[in-house]
Amino acid sequence: MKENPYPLEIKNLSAAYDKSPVLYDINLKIPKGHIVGVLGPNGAGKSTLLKAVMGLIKKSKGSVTIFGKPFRKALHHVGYVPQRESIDWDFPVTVFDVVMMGRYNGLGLFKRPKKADHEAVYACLEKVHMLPLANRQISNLSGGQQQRIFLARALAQESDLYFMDEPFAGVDAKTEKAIIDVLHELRSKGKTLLVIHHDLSTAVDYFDYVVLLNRQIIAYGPTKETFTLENLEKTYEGKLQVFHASQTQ
Amino acid sequence: MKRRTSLRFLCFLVFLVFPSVLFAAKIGDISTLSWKDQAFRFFTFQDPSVRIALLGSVLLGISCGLLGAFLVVRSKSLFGDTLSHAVLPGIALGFLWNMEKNPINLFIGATIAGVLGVFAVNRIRSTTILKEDSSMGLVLSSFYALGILLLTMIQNIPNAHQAGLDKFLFGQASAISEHDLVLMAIVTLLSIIIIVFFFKEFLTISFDSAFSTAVGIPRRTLESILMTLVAFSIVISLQAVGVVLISAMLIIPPATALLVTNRFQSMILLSVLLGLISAIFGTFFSFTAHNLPTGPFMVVSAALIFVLTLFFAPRKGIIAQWRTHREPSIH
Repeated sequence: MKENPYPLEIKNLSAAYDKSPVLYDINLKIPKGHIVGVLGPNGAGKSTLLKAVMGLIKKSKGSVTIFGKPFRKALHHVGYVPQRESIDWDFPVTVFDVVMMGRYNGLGLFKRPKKADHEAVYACLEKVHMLPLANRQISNLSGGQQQRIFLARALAQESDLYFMDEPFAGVDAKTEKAIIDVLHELRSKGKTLLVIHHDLSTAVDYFDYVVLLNRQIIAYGPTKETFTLENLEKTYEGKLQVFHASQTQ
Repeated sequence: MKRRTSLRFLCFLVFLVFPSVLFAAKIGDISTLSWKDQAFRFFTFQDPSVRIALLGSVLLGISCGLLGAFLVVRSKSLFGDTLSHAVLPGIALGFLWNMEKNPINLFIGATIAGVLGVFAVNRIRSTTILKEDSSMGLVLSSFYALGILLLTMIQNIPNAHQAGLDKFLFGQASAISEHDLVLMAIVTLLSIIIIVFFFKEFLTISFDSAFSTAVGIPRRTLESILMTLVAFSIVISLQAVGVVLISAMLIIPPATALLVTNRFQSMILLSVLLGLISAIFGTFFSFTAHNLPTGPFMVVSAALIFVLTLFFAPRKGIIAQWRTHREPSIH
């Protein structure tokens, strides 16, 4: 029997911005059907890792495979939630338009969205409680609402592997709950999620596996075994202060 | 509700256009015909020079309004200015090729110079510590200076057919030839077809470039296509609007449209309409004012519509905002 390929497998990946290396020799195998958190201090290369994997920045060496295929050939398997700050929120589009962009990849060139695509967009908006705002322009939305639009767009992609760049950054409690619900639902459907996260106090509750990253992988494995004080101190290099209380619980 | 406000705005624009056009015909009346006959002549397109100038302005208004919308939402407005100044030496060289104002030669020369200019901006930005604004300013002014130098030299060549070449600075719609018109029609049609066919791709790369790459849209190719179309539309508009002011026709109509609309589709349509109206306005005023340069008239018209919109736009206008801010204090 042929072995099932991993949703995401990274071999010897290194990446650089403007010739100064950011990531060294990353090796990762992400198992199917789990929520995996990527944690590390500022400047550790968390976003760079996602961008290198998706080919948004050039990798200086190494290889990335998605379900055994190179990224370019596995586009329909991948959903993406970028950082909220990466776009101009004054752009003249409605909430509905943004989520519809998630359907474009399946449509192909020249095709226009069909009724099924419209229904899918509304269903995704419903899941993140944004249906009442579907026809609003995206400016004047709260940070949490903006984040939920991005999440709905990723849901509309109907992928098997999701990359999320700081989805919990600066969101309200309602949004946090909505995101968690969506993550759990996706996991129960066998989807794989790689989530960049910055808040150590919630990591244990959110993630099945954690990747501790600081330019290279410090530790990786099931959260219970990997998320130890010793590993965290290695990752954060003495910048760790707030965390002790929640770890001892 | 939203439809109705847009509709009302359109009616308002139409009201704005017609009386002024009639009025313009009257003040510009230099023939023995009454202004009514003059206006009738204008609107029935009987006079071939009126016909060509007007058709040309309509085409340039459409293509600038359409492509400018992408520049404005992508924060690339000044890119149009750089390109338009960069094409000037190309125009001069296109003329020097066989010493005549052949539209194809000018078009090729201008396009090559424009592409070189953009390439230079990108090279300077990526290989030095200079930022985009400095590299744009540098390329824009140097290319422009070179162009002026060459044009001045051409003016001094005896017996050359250079008449009308000086019109490239401030534009003269009545200098548009029938050959120019064919080129303008081709470029405008090509732009419309490409934008309509790849609309969702162009929307995605403009809104969220990282996402568009992640879903496999060939972002760089589409961006190059878009910039090439912008270059083409600048080149075909130069004769009527001029190097100095063409960027205004790429910025003001879409910027005005952005103040009124919530969706990119409607912004583009309105931008095209406003570009067209300003172009007609400018041509008309220039035509009736003893053929003064067309470019400034077009831009002033576009700017007037912008100012009116700034104040009176539904929801986003200054007065509408002022009223919504006042409301809570009344209750």
